[in-house]
Amino acid sequence: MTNAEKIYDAVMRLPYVAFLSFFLIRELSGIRTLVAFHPYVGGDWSFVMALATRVSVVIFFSVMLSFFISRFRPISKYSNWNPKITALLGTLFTYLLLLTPRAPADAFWNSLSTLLVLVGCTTAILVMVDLGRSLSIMPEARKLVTSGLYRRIRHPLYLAEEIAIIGFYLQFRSWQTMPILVVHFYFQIRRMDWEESILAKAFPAYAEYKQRTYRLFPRLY
Amino acid sequence: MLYRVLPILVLGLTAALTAAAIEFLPETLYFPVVEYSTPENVQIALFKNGELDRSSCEQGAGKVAIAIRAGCPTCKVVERCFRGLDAERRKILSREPLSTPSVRMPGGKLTMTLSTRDPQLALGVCQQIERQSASRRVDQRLRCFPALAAR
Repeated sequence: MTNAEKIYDAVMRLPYVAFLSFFLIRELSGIRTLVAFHPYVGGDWSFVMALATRVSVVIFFSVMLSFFISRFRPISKYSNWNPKITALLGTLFTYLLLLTPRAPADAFWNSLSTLLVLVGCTTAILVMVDLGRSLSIMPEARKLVTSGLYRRIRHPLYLAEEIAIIGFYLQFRSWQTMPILVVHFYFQIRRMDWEESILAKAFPAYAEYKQRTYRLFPRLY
Repeated sequence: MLYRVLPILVLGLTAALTAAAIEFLPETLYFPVVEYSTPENVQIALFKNGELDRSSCEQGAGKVAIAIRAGCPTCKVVERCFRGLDAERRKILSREPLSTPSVRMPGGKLTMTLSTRDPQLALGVCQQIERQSASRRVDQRLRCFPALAAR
């Protein structure tokens, strides 16, 4: 890779890194505010879970940020805007959730939320171990990975992300924010279509891999 | 191996960071305290939840002091801001029993301790504060706790 290509690649990562950093800092500041309003803590399980939930979101963002910074360069990508916009909307739309007010602290919902965010986060780390540094926001082909969690499903990282996002949603729990989730799911499915299409073009072995695997849930979808 | 260890590591990291936030974050915050003594010589200390910076803390303490002075022109009022919580203030803001009567707002947004040489007088003032707040919204009402009572 030439120096110019390296600089171009680094610059192209900046917007999303800045975007994610903004929400990471916002969540960290939110934790400080939460503690300011509940400095008494002792024995307040509901508060401890509310705090753990926020911490899990910070861990998830940190993991995603580190994956994105250390990813490989693509070997094939779309030149038209449609897949890129779909991918951006699929990724960014869900962050609107974080700009809406959270539901009041509730030990049950916050415990469930923490659990889902942590399951999503752990799965994402395991996927990244399989994937190496091939993470991308746009549908781009970097390397064909068919081992580990990819042996049975084609999009384990999406599955991990969606588990965590359902966990995020449980912190808000309102009908008003439900459309954000639905639109996000729609764009994510479109994103998988684009991704499968470019991988099929870049790697001849992808067709056979697609035949023997499920998209997200083994035996279901 | 990684599949077994990683979930435990992530869970452990979350627990450790949550515990660290509970233990250390209050040290970065500012807590307003307003102290005043009534004409009956009851010493009242009013503790509010934390603020992110000193100016917000001073502003919050100032507002409370103005409200107290308006209701009790002869009371001596001193407002202060503390960075962090020492063991004593942490105990006052917690649900642990105190050696003096205390008043607490639901959720611990506001806590008052009352001390005087006559314990009955302190308890009487404490109960009076509770009665006076009875007409407020539920989350704004103050509840009086006698000395050594679970809060």
